[in-house]
Amino acid sequence: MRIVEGFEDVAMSILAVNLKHLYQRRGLWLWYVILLCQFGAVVLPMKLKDPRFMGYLIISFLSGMVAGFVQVEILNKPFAFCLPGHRLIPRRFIMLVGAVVNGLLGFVFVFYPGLGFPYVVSVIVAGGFVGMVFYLLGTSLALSGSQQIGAQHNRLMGFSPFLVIVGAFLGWDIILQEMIVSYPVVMAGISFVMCWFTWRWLGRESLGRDYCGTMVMTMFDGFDPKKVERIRQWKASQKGHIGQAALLGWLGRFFNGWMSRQEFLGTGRYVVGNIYTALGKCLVVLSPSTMVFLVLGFALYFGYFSSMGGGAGKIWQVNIVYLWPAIFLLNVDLLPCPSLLVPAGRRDKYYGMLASAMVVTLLTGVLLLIATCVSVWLEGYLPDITLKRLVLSYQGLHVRYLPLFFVFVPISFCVSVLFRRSAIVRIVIMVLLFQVVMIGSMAMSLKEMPVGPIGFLLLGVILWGLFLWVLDRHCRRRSLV
Amino acid sequence: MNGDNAIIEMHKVSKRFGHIKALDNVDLEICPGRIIGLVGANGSGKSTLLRHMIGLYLADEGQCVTFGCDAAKLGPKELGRIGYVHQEGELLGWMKTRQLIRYVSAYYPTWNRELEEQYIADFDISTKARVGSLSPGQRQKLAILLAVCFEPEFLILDEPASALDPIARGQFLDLLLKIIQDEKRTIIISSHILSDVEKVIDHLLIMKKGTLLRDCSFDDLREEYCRVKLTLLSGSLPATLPFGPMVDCVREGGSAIITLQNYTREEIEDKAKAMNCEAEVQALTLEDIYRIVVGE
Repeated sequence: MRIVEGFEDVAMSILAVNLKHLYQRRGLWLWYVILLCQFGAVVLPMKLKDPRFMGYLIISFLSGMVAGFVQVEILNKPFAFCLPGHRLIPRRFIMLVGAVVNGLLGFVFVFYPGLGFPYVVSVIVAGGFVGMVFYLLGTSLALSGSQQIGAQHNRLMGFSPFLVIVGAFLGWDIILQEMIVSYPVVMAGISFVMCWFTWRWLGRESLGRDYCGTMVMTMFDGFDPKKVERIRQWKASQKGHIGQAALLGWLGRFFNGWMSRQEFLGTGRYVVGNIYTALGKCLVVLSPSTMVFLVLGFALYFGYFSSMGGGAGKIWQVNIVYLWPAIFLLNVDLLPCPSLLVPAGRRDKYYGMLASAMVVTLLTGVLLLIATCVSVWLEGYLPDITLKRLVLSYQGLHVRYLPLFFVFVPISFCVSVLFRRSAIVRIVIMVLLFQVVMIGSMAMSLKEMPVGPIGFLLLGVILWGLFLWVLDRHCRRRSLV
Repeated sequence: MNGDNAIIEMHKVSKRFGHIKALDNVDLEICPGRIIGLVGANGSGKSTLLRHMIGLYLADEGQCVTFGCDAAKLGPKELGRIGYVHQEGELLGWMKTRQLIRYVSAYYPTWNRELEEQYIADFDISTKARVGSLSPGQRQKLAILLAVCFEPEFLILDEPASALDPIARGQFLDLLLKIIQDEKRTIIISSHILSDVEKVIDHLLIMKKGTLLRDCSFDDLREEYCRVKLTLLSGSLPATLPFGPMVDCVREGGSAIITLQNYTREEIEDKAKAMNCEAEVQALTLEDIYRIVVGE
């Protein structure tokens, strides 16, 4: 970095250093792959009978989040606060990346039928500006959501892609698309004003102070298990929901009492202790409102999801809900806090981890059962939803498919044990499994299970046996921290 | 360090993490009743060595025996005699401090409630706060309390004082001295704060790049090295001082400060007298000795 020359040169070189993060930051590579995968959502709707062009907004939005999080990470480092000439660099970085990405994405309107030259140029520009608005929406969510972990923004952030999909179902994208094509100058003007306000917001004096040294979690932190653990500990230490302290207090007294009835320095005492810590960890995360949200959210989403592609009556479209939690459990740590030395040998740890797996499985199984009952009850009340040519009919979950969860969950536990210290591998496997299950469910369109109950029982025995074997090897032969 | 009743015996222990050799053919015996300092640069293998002792890591080659049992097969009976403070102070963040103490105490038949209350008061630990909300220093104090209150025979302290303030560090060192009054107790302490370590240890292990450079009594090591200030009484200092190979030598006019290895006080005084010099012999600090041993 040149320091002696004029300020502009220095600022430019700081910007260049910031831009290098785009290929130097390993955590971004995974997101580039995810972004590339989104091109399907851009290209495929363009080939429909009534082509749709706004799929690129997903890429704009995600790119904005990525750029925002890159800057959050930099702003978070105390040295960045003291860097001369760095104050306005985040804004330049975000805007430059946004201009390039959306400038290119706007070219999708080249394929819009019937637009002649030079009119198409104005449409391309307007498309780029609208993309920029969505890009900056992603950036804003990244900047505001990461500041306070656990803040409402975070939940909003999680919902954003969902809202984009819902918007697409409701046909908002077509309205937006037609507005761009019909009134490109107006749309570009409105978008420009919104971008200008964001430009001002990103240039505020307090930006550096707001993020310097704060506890932030970005979308790339899966690479850093220590940070993930630090954040997890920090989150767990926050004041919980009403009644949580009482519940955990009761849990502590109950399990300490149960432990005291086991033999000192025996396996039983450790297993009970491990159940206590596993259960406590779950209850801290699952507040009553989170549980209600999960149960109702799953029941509603998957109930209506079954109608997509005319899937009513098919197995997977609705009952895929039983596989999703199994995949999520891939992130469960079955041996919490191994460095807290308590008198338990590797054999005891084997039984302790097994007990943790059982507790987590049962707890999730109970939640799924409740979601199933709720969905069956809702089936009698929820109306059909008509969206243009699509009719979404609610279909309740089928309790007979609940065993799917119990059969497949050991696969997640195997991954969780094998890659305990590599969160990013777990995330990649999780994403891959989700894709496989989603595509598989669409493609198979099964009306009957491919294997009978005995086959599933056998599969369950094999998978649980595999998990026991993996766990045994881990506890006997591998490092525990 | 030789003894038939060694509580830790490591024989040719090696451990690799990918391309990095964290431990390289380490041989070590630890006898009871000692307070051992383990020093070395970052990444020299100190934590890896300590984790092998309790079976958290398993050796790629060689054998580690703790309390007569292969470290890989340590059971509750052996581990119940060992206290361990982890470098990063990772604890169950969602519990309140008192809940965590009760949880850990439930494992030990020898848990000393009086000691617990005393340390809570001495260390000023907030029992109602959530563990995850404690400052790093408070968390470290809590980790020390959890490792000490069941009165373990063998206490492993991996960077236990790095986050403590000077007063808490003083209290912590007093605590170690109190613990070691019981002759059966053994403490191994890994730390970068050498000025603290040298106040309490009687044995020293120095590590560099996964190997054990020194394993000896701290008193022996202090006697092995010394710093001598030679002041000329009359005449001039000879161009070559008669001490053979010196560790270090700084000359200034009619005086010189030299660092020597394996010389007795009498030998130094005799040679100084022969040069018509006055010799002031000083013991080296642990930090000085460490620098010499690791060659910096």
